[in-house]
Amino acid sequence: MKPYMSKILQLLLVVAIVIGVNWSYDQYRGTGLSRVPQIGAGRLEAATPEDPSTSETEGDESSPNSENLRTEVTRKDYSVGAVENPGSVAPFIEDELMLYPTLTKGMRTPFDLWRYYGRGVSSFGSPILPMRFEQWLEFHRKQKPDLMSDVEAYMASRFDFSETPIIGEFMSGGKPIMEGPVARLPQSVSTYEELASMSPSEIKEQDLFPYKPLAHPLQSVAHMVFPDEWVKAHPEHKRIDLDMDFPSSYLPEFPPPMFLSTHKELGDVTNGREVTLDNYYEIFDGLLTPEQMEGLKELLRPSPTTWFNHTDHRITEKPSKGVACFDCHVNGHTNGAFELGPDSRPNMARLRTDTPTMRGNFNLMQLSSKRSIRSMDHFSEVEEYFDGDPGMQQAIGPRAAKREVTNRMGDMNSILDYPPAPKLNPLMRLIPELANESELRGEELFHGKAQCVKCHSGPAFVDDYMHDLRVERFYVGRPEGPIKTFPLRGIKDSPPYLHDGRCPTLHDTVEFFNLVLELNLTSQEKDDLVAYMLCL
Amino acid sequence: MEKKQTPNVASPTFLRYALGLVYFHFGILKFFPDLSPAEMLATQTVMSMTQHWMDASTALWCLAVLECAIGLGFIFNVLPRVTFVLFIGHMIGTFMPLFVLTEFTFKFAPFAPNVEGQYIFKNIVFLAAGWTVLLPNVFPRRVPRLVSTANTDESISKPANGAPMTDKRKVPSLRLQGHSLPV
Ligand code: HEC
Ligand code: HEC
Repeated sequence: MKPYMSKILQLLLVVAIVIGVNWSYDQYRGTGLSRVPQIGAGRLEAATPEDPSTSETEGDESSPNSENLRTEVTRKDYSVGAVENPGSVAPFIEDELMLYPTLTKGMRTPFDLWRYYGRGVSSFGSPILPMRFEQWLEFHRKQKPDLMSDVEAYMASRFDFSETPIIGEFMSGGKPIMEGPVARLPQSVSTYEELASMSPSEIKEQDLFPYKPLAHPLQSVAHMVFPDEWVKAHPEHKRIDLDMDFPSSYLPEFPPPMFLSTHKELGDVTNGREVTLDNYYEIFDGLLTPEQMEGLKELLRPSPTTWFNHTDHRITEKPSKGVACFDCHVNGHTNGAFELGPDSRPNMARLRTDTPTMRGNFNLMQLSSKRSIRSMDHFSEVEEYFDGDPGMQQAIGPRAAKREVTNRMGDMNSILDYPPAPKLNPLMRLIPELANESELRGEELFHGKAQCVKCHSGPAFVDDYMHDLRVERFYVGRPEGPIKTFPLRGIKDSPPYLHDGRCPTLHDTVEFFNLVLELNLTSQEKDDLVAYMLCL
Repeated sequence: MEKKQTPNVASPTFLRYALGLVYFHFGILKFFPDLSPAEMLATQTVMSMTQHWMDASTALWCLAVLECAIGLGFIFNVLPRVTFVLFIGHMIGTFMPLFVLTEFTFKFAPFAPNVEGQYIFKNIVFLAAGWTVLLPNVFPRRVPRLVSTANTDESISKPANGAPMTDKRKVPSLRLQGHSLPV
């Protein structure tokens, strides 16, 4: 053979491979197995009997070959001539986002998950570990120290946890409240005011937004992460793979006081104790109805979860009894444990969610950040300990909470009251004699220039709507979509703020809304707003 | 003359193409997210070796470039030294999961691999093959002189005086394997 012939053959081989792989990719994407969406086309395109462009004749239903065929309807192309119709729905911006990495249980995940998109391999999980349990322990024994030091470095790069308290301000049980803002500004910006003077697109282009989402640090396992203080009191919840990433001073107090709407005169009914299965009867006998009592017991009774259970599919060294509602919502409030909202697939698309308080939930028409659950009873019924995964229940056991029981849980939840707010009158306005100048100015701003009241109004300072704050205008990332307004009554007791805790202090929430709502508040005005929120 | 040599070099040629094909094909796959079945193992290895300094898509892209380069080196038989260095580096890399992701590659270390572990162990055959194909081009003077222009068949089957084939003094005029490939 002539030498140039061999070169040509070699070249052909290479070109054939490139074309072949490229073709395979186009065929593969958008199929059930692929995590990459097909752009702008229905999945079952191949089943469409006719080219849609040729079947323009509307209402030709008698056409014999379309009669028995169910085809997937794809959107019509309304383009006119050379003017291309971009369509109203852009599926995603492939160039800017990256596909979720391929992983299995336990493997590390990116901290900047907002930069990723894609679907999961399946909606359903399985209780099978990718390795023997001894290897699982060993794997995490090696991975955890590295992971935690990276988590710490990452958190330190985002926040300046200087642990400076606001002088003279305390949570309802006496824990100091931290001063902010603690989110770090990018190097090129010297003040928050300077940042706020820029437009959203400028902030996005120069990658300057300090309040990007927070991800669960180990999304491949995810599940609940308890605060250090809790784990110290409940070593059975010590995870082999991960610890809390927030310092305790920026989390709610533990144990928090518990207020009953039926016994305002008693103040904190627990007297500073954590309510447990062992002491609940003694604390509450004579205070609760039998229904509430039964509900409380159920709220305290642990049941197995995806990763806290008796099987090998667990993240505790010893088999675990599971987790109870009050293990996160301790004393009907929150200890700051975080989880993923069980509302989406793949897991990596799910928002990290801090445990919200249950106090005053009787006033809420919308429960959970994204699922819009409408009653406490229903919430108790659906609360997805298992990460909403029926695939797990065969191995782990069903929650077995019957509707009668979950209704009782709802009965108990419905009397968990807010902490006292002595400066507020019945219309939830500050009583002028009790409030100082700054707080009054804050209230003025809240109802005026800062427009907070548009979404935070009424007895719980909440409008019971979901809002899309469109925060993705400020950074390149996957949009988080609508999220329910969280109430501000008793807000000083439940840091960190926003669904994922990206605002560790109230000052950060004001900076956040100052940017997102483009309010251009002065630093005095921001301090006043914080002073006001501390009264609620 | 040319024809006579064919039997002796055919096997390394096939081997060279086989290596090139596998490297280039499996390398190209890595440019397409979610297409390569080795994605998880490969990216996790690179990420843990770089202390998670590199993210998964960068790691995958770098591997794709590396594997395609090696593949092209084999297929086109060019830059043998560069190919050799990349190849050896890559080979060492492919064995790393056995050390850094032990739990994902063994049922019971070190003698009972799982499917992934077996997939990696088998790369030792790759290593041997690449070595055989490339070494003559990389260290021409150290390699057994297999193919003689003068007397091909004899020099292979019966080295002069029964001396070891590596004894280059005994067979003065030789052509190098690989350089005389007839394809
Ligand atoms: C990880 C610990 C954890 C446990 C255990 C837990 N929750 Fe929650 N709870 C959360 C988180 C996180 C959210 C926020 C979920 C969301 O935003 O989608 C939440 C939200 C809620 C809400 C809605 C609050 C609001 O303001 O929207 C209610 C009500 C609630 N949980 C009740 C329960 C009940 C009842 C149980 C027991 C069956 C329970 N929770 C167990 C963490 C927990
Ligand atoms: C467009 C409606 C809207 C306006 C206006 C608004 N908020 Fe909010 N607020 C929300 C939503 C929605 C959330 C929940 C967002 C999330 O969790 O990601 C929220 C959450 C908060 C939180 C955190 C609550 C928690 O439990 O974590 C605080 C604090 C807060 N807002 C304060 C303010 C202040 C101060 C203003 C005025 C400067 C304001 N909000 C204006 C809709 C609004």
